[in-house]
Amino acid sequence: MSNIRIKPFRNPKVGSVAVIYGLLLVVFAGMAVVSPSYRSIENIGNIIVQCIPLAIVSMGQTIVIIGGGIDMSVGAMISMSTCIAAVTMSSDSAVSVGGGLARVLLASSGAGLLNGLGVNSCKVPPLITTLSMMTVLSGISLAILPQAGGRVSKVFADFMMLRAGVLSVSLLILICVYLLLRRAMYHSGFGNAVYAIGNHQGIAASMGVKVKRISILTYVAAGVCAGVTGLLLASRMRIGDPVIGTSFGLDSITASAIGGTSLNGGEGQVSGTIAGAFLIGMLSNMMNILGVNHFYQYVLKGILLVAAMIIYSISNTLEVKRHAGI
Amino acid sequence: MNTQMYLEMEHITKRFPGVTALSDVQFSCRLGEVHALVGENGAGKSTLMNILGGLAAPDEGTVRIDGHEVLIRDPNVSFSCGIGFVHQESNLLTNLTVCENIFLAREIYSGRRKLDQEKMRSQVQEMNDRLGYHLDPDAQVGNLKLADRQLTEIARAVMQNPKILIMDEPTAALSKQEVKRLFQIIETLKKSGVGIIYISHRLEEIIEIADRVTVLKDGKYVGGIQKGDITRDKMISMMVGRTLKDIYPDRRDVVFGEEMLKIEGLTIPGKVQGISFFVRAGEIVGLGGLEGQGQRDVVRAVFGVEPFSAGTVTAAGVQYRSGGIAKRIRGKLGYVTDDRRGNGLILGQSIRKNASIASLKAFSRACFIQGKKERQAVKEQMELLQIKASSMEQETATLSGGNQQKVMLARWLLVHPKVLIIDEPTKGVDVGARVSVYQIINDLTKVGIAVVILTSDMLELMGVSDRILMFYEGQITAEILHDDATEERLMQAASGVVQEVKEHE
Amino acid sequence: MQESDLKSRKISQGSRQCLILLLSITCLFVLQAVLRPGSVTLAQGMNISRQASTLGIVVLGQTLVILTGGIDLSVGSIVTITNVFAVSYMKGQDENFFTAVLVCAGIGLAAGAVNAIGVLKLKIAPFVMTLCTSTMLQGIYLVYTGGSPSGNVSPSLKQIGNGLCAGVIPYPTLIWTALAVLLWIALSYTPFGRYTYAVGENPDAAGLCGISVDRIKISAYLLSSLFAVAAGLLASGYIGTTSLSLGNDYITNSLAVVLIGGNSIEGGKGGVWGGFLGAFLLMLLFALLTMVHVGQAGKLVIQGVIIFAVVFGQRYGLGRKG
Repeated sequence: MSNIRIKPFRNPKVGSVAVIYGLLLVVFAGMAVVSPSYRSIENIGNIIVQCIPLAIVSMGQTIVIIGGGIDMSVGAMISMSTCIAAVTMSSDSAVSVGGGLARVLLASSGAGLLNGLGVNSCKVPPLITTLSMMTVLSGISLAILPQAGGRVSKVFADFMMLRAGVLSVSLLILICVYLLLRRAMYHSGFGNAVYAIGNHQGIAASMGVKVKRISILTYVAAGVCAGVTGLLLASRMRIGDPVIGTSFGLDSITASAIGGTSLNGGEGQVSGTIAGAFLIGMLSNMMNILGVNHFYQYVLKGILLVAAMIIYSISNTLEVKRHAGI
Repeated sequence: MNTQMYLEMEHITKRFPGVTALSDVQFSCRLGEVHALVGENGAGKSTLMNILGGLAAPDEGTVRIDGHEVLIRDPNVSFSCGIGFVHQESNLLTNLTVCENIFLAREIYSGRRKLDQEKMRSQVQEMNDRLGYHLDPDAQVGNLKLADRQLTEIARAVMQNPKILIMDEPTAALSKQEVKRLFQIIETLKKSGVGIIYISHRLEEIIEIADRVTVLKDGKYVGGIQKGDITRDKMISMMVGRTLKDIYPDRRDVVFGEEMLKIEGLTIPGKVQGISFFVRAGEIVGLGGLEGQGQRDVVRAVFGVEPFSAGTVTAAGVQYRSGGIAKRIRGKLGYVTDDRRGNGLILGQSIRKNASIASLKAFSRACFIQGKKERQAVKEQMELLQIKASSMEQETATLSGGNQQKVMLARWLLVHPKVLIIDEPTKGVDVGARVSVYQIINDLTKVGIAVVILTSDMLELMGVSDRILMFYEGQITAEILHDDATEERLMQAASGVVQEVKEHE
Repeated sequence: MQESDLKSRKISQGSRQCLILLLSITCLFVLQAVLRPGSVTLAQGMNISRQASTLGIVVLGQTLVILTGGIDLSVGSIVTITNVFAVSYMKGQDENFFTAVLVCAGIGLAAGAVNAIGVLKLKIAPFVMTLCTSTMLQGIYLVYTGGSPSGNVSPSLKQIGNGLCAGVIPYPTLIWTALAVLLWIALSYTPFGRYTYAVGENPDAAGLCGISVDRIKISAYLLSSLFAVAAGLLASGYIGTTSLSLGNDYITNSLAVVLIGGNSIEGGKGGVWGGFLGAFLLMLLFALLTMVHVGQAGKLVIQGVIIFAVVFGQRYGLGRKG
């Protein structure tokens, strides 16, 4: 029978994250060679701020996917959040801003909770539950703001968009969210449980994991991340937009997949997702700089996702073969 | 060793739709003793243990732990009663490490709600020393071999200091050395006052390790044997009730025809090596051995489900390569799988649709199905096989196990096979229907069909087959004719003792 | 006896769903007559069926894919891209009618093939793969039109899209009904149909019976794309010109209708007529909502709730029986 292979990295997870960051670095370096704007601190800071919203919502999506589910409604959650912000955070008073913030987070986490309940209590498959939620939230967004408009508190928006070179408030928020999620996923029983239910719900349950509770929490986490993302976008645009979040649904899934998360559940790293989100976020920018029709980014995104899936599936097969002794 | 019973189960009855799994069963266990539970497949051992493990609730009866009556509602309650479970199939998460699996849902936290990795790792090390093996806490369980996964499960169970440890078929996938190591661990646990419930069909091992044996048969408690009295013959006589003559058809007058199936040098890397055998028209060849010794892989390769890297498969004069199920069916080769609910029947569909699915071309003309022809053929099969149902439109999900098996047979008979492979012909089939199935198989051979049977039921193997091929670790260790077959010889071959392979005229 | 009870219940489950749908349609008509007396006429009904036909044709394809256990989220983009290329090749003339149709069919087949390859060879989950294809198609037609498309369809297509056969039945309705009948015959009376249901419910068992699971699934994706192309052509004929948002609601609508029609999202259960009636029902519902001034927002919310409620209802119903 085969022996335990000594792996170059003690923790197999570290390996895949290193690969994606390596790729990101290569792309970045490549662009830096080609274009001067990639060498200016100012522009790099700009790019970072552009990519952060997708990175945050993708991290939430990653947690749901690792737990064996999927959330198609994050895009609509983002749209709804910007609309709520633009309508309830119009004035600059602390009450208005505080109240608006609370409403946004309550709404998005509430939607996440409903997703979790739909999947776990009503036993409706995640795809259907979150697709329904996406449709419902799109409708709600339109009800709140039939067209892009409203007003986001200038004070709040200015604060959120503060920048100094490479650093920014957005970056701070990204780091905070990342650290929180990292604590939850890798330094607590919650994380182990999420990976467990993503691998095999039945076995996890028989080992004492409270599957329902954990799964619902993953959807709530995705909701919160979407809410934060919505606040960032609202701050950037200074208004609300009922359809602004549409592309984030598939993009967050793509970012997770590229970052090494398996769509079957049980595998993936939140840190890898950030790199994946940055790669996607840079696509549009890169198209512009390279003078390519920016609509091609859609085609590229699709190809990127397919490529990530192929690579992942190949490496999986190789792993299986290696350990079967073939 | 305590003389008082720590665990007492009395008058346990458990019913499932269509079958009574347990009927008025009693079972008990003391701290510090090894109590073995034996019985044929389907005797009720798993069900009884599932009740202890909190995965099933008894319909009648009581369970007492340390004198107190308990209702074990779910795995957590079972665990808090001091019961640990090491499952037959490794019940671990393959994407987590050894340490993470051991502590899943029971993690140790340091002060600020943060996982105390150090402490958990050192506890795994302590376990290593205590039980005398080497588990790497950071190894991913998915990369471990089965023996080590089992150790992980044992560690997880033992870590919680259980009073009772259930071990379900613990040696199924272990080498001789690993079995020895396991027995040492069991001794250590025994000395530290843990009561061990040991389920196994390897009677030799039970003789070596058990203090007591309880025998179940057909869901009923047959009796117990004390240490000193435990012999294989005694266990077998209690496990079996029927003499072979009763249910297996007499095949003394059967004449064999020409070779219908010929396998030569079949090799599947990692599974089987150089398998060769043949089956003649009208003959029943049984493939036996312990679980996972390659028999099923051979059969799947023959039918084209799994690829093979070397060797030839010739059925009814046609040679087949790796893969190509449709081709084989056209060549009149059939395969009744062992998992009729999983990959056999299309449960939501009717008997008629299930029966005709593999032979639709025969009932079709110019792309359309001829309903009348189809119904006629299915009607004939239902009468021939005595399938009991309200009509051929009845949904197969609602049929009994025996009738479901007959629908599977009907499907393959409509293909008019020359060679038929039947995997576990009577799994989950009640005794009455079993007799019927054996008759059907006997009748098949009378019209010249070559039959290959796979079964884990030793007695069925001996009763049904004209010739038996025993597998061990991917090779055929013995070829035994019906009249020469004894359980002893089969068990020996199944355990790896190579016997003379018969020469044929 | 209990078993025969089950049998009689099972046989009429498909027809029971159709009965429920017919009942619902009748109720809605009644409601409409109450809210707007005199508005319920044959012409209006025919008009609704015209609206429903393009959705209904897409639903036929989606039904097939879902029956085999997959899902096709690229249908919306296929409708839009069909419109873009149809207009571009027809240029408002009749001469290039057939060329345009062929081009669109080709694109549809290519999309279906990409879906099939992704799902079957690359083992990518159907919803991901078809979403991918959808995005790529979106990119293609955006690049092709630069974001601002223009042009018109052939007059004959416009005639088909808007005209009435024998002065009563809209051409699109006729085409939709014909396609539905064809698919129904294929599913109920041919080996292909039996294999489709088998593959959807238990692909392992189907494979062991010699059925080429891959071939059935590939056919499903290819047909789904072709149906979407047909729907796109009819829709283009109806509006006469081009619009980048033409395919927008087809994904959620087709999914909702397939589920309302009694098909199981996991595959292996359902049929053509449920979706047929369901498409009409949905369009009637939307027409009614518009009549009482419910906006896009309200329609979306109702749609979302319907999808969830229907699947939940299916599960609950199954749970109770078993």
